[in-house]
Amino acid sequence: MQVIAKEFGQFVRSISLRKSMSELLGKRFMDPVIPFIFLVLIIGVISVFTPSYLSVGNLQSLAYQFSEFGFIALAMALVVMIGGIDLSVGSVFALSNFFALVLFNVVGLPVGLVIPATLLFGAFLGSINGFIIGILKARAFLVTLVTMIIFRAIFLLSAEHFAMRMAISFNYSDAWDFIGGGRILGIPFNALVLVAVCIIIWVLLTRSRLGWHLLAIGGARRSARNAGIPIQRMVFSTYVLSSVLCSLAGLLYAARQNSSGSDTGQSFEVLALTAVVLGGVAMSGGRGSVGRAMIGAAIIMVLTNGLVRNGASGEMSSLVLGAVLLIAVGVDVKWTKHKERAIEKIYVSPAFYQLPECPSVTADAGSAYQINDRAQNAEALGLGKLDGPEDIIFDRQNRMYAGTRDGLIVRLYGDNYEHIETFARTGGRPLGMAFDKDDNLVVCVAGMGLYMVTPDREVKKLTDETNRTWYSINDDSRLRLADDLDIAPDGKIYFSEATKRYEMEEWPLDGIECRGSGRIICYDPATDRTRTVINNLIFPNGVCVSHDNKSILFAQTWSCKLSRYWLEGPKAGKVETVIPNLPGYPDNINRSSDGKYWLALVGMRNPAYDMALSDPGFRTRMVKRIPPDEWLCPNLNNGGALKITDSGEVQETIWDPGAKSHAMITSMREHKGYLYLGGVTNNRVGRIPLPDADPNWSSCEDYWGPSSVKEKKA
Amino acid sequence: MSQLGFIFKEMFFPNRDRHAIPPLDGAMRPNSELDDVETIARFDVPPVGLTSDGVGGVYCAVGNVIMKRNDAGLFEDFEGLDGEISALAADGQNGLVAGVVGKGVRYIGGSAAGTEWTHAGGKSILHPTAIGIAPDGSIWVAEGSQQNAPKDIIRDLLEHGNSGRIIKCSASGETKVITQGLAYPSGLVCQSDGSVLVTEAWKHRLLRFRDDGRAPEVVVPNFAGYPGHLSTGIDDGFLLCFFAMRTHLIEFLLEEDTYRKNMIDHVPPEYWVAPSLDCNETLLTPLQFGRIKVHGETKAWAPPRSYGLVAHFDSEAIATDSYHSRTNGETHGITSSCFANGELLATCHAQKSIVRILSGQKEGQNV
Repeated sequence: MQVIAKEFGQFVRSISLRKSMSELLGKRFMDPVIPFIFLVLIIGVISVFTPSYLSVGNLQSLAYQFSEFGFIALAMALVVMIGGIDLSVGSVFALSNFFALVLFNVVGLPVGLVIPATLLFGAFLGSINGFIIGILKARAFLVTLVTMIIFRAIFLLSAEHFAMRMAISFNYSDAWDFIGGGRILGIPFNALVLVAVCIIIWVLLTRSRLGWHLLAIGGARRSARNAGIPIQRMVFSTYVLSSVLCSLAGLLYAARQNSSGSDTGQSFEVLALTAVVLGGVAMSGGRGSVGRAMIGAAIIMVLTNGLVRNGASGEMSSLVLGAVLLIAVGVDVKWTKHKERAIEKIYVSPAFYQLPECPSVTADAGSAYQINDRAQNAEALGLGKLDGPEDIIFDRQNRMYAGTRDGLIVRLYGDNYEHIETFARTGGRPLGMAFDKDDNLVVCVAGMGLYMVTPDREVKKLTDETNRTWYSINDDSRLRLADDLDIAPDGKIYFSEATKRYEMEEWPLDGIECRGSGRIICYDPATDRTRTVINNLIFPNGVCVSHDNKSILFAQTWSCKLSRYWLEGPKAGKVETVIPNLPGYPDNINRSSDGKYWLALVGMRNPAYDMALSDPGFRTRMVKRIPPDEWLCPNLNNGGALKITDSGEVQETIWDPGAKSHAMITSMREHKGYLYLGGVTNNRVGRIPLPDADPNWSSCEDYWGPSSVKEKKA
Repeated sequence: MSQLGFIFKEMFFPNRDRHAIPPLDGAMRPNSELDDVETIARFDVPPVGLTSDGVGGVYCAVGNVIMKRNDAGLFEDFEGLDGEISALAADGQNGLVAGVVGKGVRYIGGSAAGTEWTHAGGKSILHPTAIGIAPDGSIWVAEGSQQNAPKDIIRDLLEHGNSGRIIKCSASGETKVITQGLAYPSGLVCQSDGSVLVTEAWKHRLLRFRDDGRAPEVVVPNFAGYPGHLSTGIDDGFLLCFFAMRTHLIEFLLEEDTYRKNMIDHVPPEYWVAPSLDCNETLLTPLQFGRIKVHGETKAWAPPRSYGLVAHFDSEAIATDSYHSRTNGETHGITSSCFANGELLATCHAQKSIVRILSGQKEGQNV
């Protein structure tokens, strides 16, 4: 119960209209939402003006009419999706309808033969279109315009020819009547056929190679060709399929009306085209679905029917439909063109955040924060050879490891670390590192996930996804920006993912947003399972298992906060704040030799930026209107390192005022009497002697004990 | 509402003149000439009002004291006054005109010594920022703002200050307000044809006044920086110092009334999001992303909080030379400059110093 309440609370806090909108608009299923809303509105309006519009009887009669038109719209949608057009749908419908009537009434064939014969006839008509367009590569518009005229002419001629015999011959069949007017559970038979066909085509389009090929050809014909998709065959079959659907509609119409008139299927091509474009099937091809075609068809159906029911003349309803088509095409063009940009414009959604009062760090502050220049005299190691050592770590042989911007983990060795070699290539951006009990180097690789480098330099993936948050719109299971980690004695790896909304190079945007989009995740090597432990944190960064192994400390950068997550004891599973108001933005945390912790401050708070944090509108407009280099940001040029106790008391500080030698301190590691400083944009590692520290202390031994099997062998 | 107005304008007038920051190109192309200059004097407070009398004398003001350059090239005390001197001009006949904050403008030395102008148009002359002496002997004074003293120049920018005046003073002690409501006139130089060039800092433009009652002519409509001190150049040209550069952030901030007012009210001025004449960034100074150090270096092209720029323009107001100290430099906040004895000198606010940009011997410079 508590868990549910907590989850729900997190969900409520994570709600942001702007954020949800931007994420929703990026979804493909959102494309037909506007037409769908339009459909609901139209139905609402018409049912208000038309008495008993929503009655069962009226709905049933609507369903009969809709079904046949639905097939036509579906047929049109398929050819539009492959990048073509089929103007002959109405004529094929009329001709097939007449063909079925002749076979049934005049020739007297049984229903079981009429159906396949009519569908085959439709396939034949479609193959004419398909052959000329697909194989001979003529323009779809012209070809289908011509076949539309020809098919209709044939229809009119044969109607005249058979008029007499049609009038006198009559065949009767229960099956034929059922196809035409039967109902199952009150639902018309032809509507059920439509549903079945829709499902088949939906599966075909979304779940089969055929469907993907179809959309690929419509989306980018040349690329599809280069990818080896058989374009000729696909286009041919699509036109055949289109005509088969039309003939199926014709057959159902024949069974329902049992008659044919000269205006059968008249102007269906325009109606169907309007329907598919209204539904959100792109005229340029490559974008569309069965659902969209049906929504569009329903709008057209409801609109024409509603207009007629309310006494509008045929001309009037044509006018309205034409206007609707015009608007739909215009919106379709603009929306397709600007959708990505619109999403981009609203994607960054800064949140309100009020930081607590900032402790003073001035030279006369009188507190432990008081500024000094201890980092300014730091010895520079690997100067110019390192590009962005975000984190550093030492193995049992005193060698130093650092991740660099080009995706390498480098190893420095020698008395003054003057030698440098490539230890491993990760392919991402290596950030936090830790050694496990078998001397494997576990590393958070931004853009990839949690990886491990064995002493033999083999790079292995540990995990790159966690469980999905149930209320997230975008799938957030994939790890985007794994940041820092630490390993508990039982082997479980606790690591932070700074943000799930941005990539490594876009991290400033997350700072501008100051929204809880990060999480602490636990990977258990024993079960190979990854679970999110704490969600919705504001840029969680450093992670460190406490000296007593009962809790982990973690820092949240943009909220200037240090927290503790209890692993065991009476508060197990609870999070508590250790330091609520740091004077700067915390980064990595590591153990110190005297039972305390080192905490890096990557930058300092400043009053102007703190004020901007409580003005989300200001930040939103700033991000929109001025280039990224000009954005206001926290003072990330001045960092430092703090030494803190388990209870969060700050005891010692190391500063570099003016950022003369260590502009950005993102991590520090104590090793054998020295403190080493790393920085994500620096070209060096700093070294400061710690006169009071244990000169033999190293973190590897502190975590995993002094003895190492391998070392003994060596 | 302003957001709606902005969207409306974006939709229907996308090609309107946005008064956008022009690029620094042509003769204004950035260089690092100001970073390699020689410092010839350093003071406890920033020097201002560097001026040459055209016959060998070079003066500047440091706090309450007027300094004069001696034969050895060093600046020594010339005369102390009873207030902070904010503007200085020399008439070439041993006379100096000094603007004193809160007290007006007065003649020192020379034949007209003791003449004083304290009021104009019924209001005190509080904050003179520049003084020019016309060929006919009349004194032209620019008063930057009625509200803000020259040391609060940045506050005037953020408050959209527009209370600057141009005042013409005659030798008999009379004053005449030529114009008022200017957005911080910060530099003024009298031309040989009797016209007067004035820089209007917050509108980033250069105006030309004549005492004929007509509206001023806009000579340069849009500078990339905030134009400040003006002095006579070569061949009827002029020297112009930019005390800070415009940035997109500040242009944006000036439209953000709520945030800006909050900041002015609650944040100490040295930590404002604002241009600065100093280049000492502390832990609490706001930063822009482009200024984050990479490999321990600030990028020269990063958006500047402070900048150093002196440029020479010809008589057609087209730039011919420029001397920059970019974002990674330290010779920032150039408050005045002048040609003297073949040298180009400038006062640097950030270093509280006077620097020599060109020595007379430099080739190709016809000074």
